[in-house]
Amino acid sequence: MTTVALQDLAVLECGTRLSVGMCGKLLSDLGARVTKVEPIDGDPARRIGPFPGDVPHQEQSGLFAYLNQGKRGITLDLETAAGRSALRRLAPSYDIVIAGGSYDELERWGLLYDSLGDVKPGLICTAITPFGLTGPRRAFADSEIVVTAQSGIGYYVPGPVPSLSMPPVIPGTHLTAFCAGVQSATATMVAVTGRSEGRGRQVDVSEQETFLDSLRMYLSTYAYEGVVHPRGAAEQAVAIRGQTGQCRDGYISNVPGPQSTDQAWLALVDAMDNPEWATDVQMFDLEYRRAHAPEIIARINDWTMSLTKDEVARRLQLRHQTSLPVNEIDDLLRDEQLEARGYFTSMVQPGLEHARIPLSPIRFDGASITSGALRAPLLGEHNAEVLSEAGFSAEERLWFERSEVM
Amino acid sequence: MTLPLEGIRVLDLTWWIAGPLATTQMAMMGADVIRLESRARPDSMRLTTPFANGEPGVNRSGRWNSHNFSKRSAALNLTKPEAQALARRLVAQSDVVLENFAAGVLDRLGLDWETLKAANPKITLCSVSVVGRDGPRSSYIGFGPGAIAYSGLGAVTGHRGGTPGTIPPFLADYTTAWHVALSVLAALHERKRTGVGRRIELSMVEAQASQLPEAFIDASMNGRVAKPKGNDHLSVAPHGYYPCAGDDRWIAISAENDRQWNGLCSVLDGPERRLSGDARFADGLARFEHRDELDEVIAGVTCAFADADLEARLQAAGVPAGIAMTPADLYVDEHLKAREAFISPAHPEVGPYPMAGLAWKLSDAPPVIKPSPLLGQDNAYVYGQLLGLSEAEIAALEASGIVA
Repeated sequence: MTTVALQDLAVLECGTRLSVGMCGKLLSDLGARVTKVEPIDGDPARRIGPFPGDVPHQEQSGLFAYLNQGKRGITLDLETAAGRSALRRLAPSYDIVIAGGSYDELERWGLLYDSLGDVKPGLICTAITPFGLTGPRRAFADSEIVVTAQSGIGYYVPGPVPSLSMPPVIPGTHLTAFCAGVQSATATMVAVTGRSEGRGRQVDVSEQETFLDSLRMYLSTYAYEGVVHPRGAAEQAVAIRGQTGQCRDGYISNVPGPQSTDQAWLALVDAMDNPEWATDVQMFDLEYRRAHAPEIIARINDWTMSLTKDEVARRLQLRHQTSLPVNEIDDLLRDEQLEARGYFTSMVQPGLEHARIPLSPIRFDGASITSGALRAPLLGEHNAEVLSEAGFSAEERLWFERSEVM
Repeated sequence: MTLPLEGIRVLDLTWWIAGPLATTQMAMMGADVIRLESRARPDSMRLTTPFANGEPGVNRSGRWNSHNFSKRSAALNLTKPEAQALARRLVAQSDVVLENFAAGVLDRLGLDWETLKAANPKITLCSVSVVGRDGPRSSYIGFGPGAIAYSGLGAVTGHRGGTPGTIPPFLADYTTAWHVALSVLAALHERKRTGVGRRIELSMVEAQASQLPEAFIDASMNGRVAKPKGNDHLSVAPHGYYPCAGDDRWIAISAENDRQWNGLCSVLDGPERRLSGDARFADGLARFEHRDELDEVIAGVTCAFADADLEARLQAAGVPAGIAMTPADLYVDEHLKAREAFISPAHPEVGPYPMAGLAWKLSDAPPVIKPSPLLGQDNAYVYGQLLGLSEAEIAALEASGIVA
């Protein structure tokens, strides 16, 4: 299905941050009519790829195509006065302007509510910036890794490490941007819900704070116990959550271990088909298991290594354990569960037809709200159409097309 | 002042994070959120550490309290048929029901979609699970760490050649929570036009995996399966975390153009011109090709600096740089203080503890900040004011373990 939940909302998306692209994508997925404004040399995502056969092409970037399916696209140089006044003339055709950039850029481009709010009563201006519109760090030089570090999440990625001499690493995808994108879409919908005649709003989204939102567990540890949750806590993690076990074809998460509860231990023993070593009466004593943890872990590993991770997960799940396989990317593309739910679809972007991408994870009435049938705009594809519907004359349109502003 | 979500009532049956944080966001923006929960089987997060003063108690968990503020709590033991009938009466007066039970539980509680719709055709139901409510593994259960593992995020995050990362292990819960809030608001927006609600469904694995487009595209189109790549960037070097003076202190630095590189050199070069004088780092391509050597040289210099001092110097030189902040750093950070990122509502049982507030701001809409509810503190409002039961009737329901 393709939902039309937000069909009455028109969105103008400006700025080059990936977070703004994700915000616009989510609103577009939900049925809003989104027009993306790109700089004249195109959105940076057009240069990121992945490209078919690794041959860069501005119309064949996988990331750009994913983030911009179903949007219309225009080009406009907001560093020029003509570009900025064109934007002010476009804005009244929209309910929402989402803008991503540094604080300085958004101010310079005239995309904050203070300068744009007068063009239309009730206009919602969503600003997505690295550190927010206020505060001493709003003009900080930023990059994805810096925002991640300052959110507090960065310190804890990739998870428990064997040695504190190993630095944190950046997540393997654009998490700060994407998490900010989702929350920006939510914040925008809150503003839309509360929209009253004549009163618009500024929505202020800081990428730092939207990612910090997910540090609540460790923040509470510090607030209540005065302890910084350690990043080198591999052994503690095993004791609490069970172990990550190695299987014939990879890893499995949350396998019960010697220190698990008796209930979880019994489930594990049953999942292993009750081998003699595990059914010895001493094994039903947590203290005994704790004292003999290394040998027991070795025995459990022998069992997990004899099976695939999906099979270990299946056996433990049957016994109400929360174990799940640690999937590689290609595992997901052939996963029976995702397949049955129709999660992946092929792209319709010319040249990218072999690429598989997720449909929206939001499902209405049993099916994803997207169908994957829409493609991303070519660079400047809708310039004439968008100017025309905003009332630009033929002569004005021609000027923009010929100038370096569009 | 009217808050944006005033007039919206949400019945929250969820546990842990993926549901509760979504309704906390809505509550801060004015929605009337009621957690229906039972003393017999409370949200297991209420029973997790850290507890205030180390004393266990259903109202004392720091984790629970920092995910559930600004909302109400009414006790209800949904295993009892009379409680299920009360829940259906509340549904008739609500806009949204959220749940993340194991598959089939909602049906057993007499609160399946058809029943909810019969009670209130305008109701929206949002269901959250780990791998989805249909498909061959719909019975699977799990938490955030398993969802991260399943989603592939772990497989692309970690040190080069290392094992899959676990990330801060509950990220998938949060990612899902943000999608929950968004999808519920979209359904409510649509309802203004159509008059009917939606049955929304989200899987934590699918929400998290939707943030890995490049990896799926590259694997399916180019046959390249992404692996952990440390701090490697596609084209930028230096790009990474570098050690600072002190115990386990790190600063993130990236320099993506010559201007930023020159700024970096002006701070770290020293009289030996360790960076600008080295031919291996002469231009962007050279730096990228020699990024491991570059990291080593930079780390050898940064480790002598105090992190805050180095951050200030690099920022003054226009270089993207920032301390890898720990929870202790975050709570005292001047920028986050200025933005009122943390709140400390006085909880009636445990007092004020700081925690993250609403992650975004709307002009003219200061968030509602109330402490997390004691279990069952709003029974009188929910059963008296909303359902019109007398005090005696509520007392009887409490005594019989229905409102309990």
